[in-house]
Amino acid sequence: MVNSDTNNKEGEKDIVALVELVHAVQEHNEVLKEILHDIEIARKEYDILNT
Amino acid sequence: MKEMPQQLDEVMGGKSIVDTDIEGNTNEVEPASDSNLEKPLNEAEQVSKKIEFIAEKLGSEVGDSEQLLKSLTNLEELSGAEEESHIAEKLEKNNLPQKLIEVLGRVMHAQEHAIHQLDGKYDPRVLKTVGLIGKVLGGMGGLTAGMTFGGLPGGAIAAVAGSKGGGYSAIRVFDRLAEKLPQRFKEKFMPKTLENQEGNESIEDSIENQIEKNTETMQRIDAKINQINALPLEKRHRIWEKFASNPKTADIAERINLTAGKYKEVWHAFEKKYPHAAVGLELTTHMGIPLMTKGMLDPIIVEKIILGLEYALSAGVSEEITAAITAKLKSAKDHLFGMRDTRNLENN
Repeated sequence: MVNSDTNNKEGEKDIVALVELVHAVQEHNEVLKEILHDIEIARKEYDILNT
Repeated sequence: MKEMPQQLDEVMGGKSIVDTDIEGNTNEVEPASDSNLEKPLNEAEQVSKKIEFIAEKLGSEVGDSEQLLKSLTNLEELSGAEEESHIAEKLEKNNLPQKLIEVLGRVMHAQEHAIHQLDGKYDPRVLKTVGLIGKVLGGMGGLTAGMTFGGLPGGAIAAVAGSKGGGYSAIRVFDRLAEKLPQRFKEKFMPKTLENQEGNESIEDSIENQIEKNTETMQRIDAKINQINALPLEKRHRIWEKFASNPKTADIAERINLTAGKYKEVWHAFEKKYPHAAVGLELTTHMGIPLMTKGMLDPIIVEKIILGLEYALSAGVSEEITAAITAKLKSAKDHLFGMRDTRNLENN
């Protein structure tokens, strides 16, 4: 599917663009994990403080 | 390309490759094995293989995003305002609302850049995977952020940071998720005085039924458009010209109008029920127009979005938003008609 005139440099740019996108989504997922973790901890704390 | 092997290793991170389809379902797939290659690949083919490989990884990460967002929205309802404040304090202490908004912004920029960089060069599935991010992160992530940290300006910003096509499905997601929200958050999205309970139930039924029907129609149209978009440019132009000169076009246009008409009813009910979320959705769709008018999608999609927006506007949104969208609509329309002019379609 790659055009015959796609040169090495363009190919590199394409890969870097996609890798950066993967990294951005990974970062997003890490923040979501942190949020879930903090919510879980906060709820446990709240339960302990109120029993 | 000396850095590529390292980048690929880093991207893969030892995880399995998962293919994510348009519905967000995931299927395990086997990575291409070098031993299966009968002859050495040329440079262009190697790049193409690597791109497809990374796109598979991207599909897997988007699948993870969806799971995490589901976990976030499936949390048990909080016991009350006190527990809610306790959690909000904890999240804000760790600056998590801001972090989420920032990463959503980064995803948005990286997605836009990747679309520009990759468009038309590789297997259409690659671009489809990249496009899926807008749907998942913009629709679900943006609104989830908006709800989780309801009332913060960041909620609207996060919604804007996401999708170019997720607004429609997000209405359904939002409506379902709203039921699980603590009352204090709900109030931020709902009108101060609601109509009677019977009225609300009827709005809910209307939203659910109409969205169900219209989503299927939109999906069928989108699938067809995706097929066309996968073709080379010249072939797309020929199809478009044929389409414009075909008497059946009027029927198709009528059907699109019908869909947009139904969308108007859904939007009207939704906007009444959640005025603040409606503004967020308007902004999300509004942000999508510049992306679409850069020629990444067929003009028919642009037209569909414009129609949807016009109906949304006729249903009534806030003044400033209306003015902003109207300005954008004008430039989008100019672009749309400009594209048509170049294809000699004005006289058909």
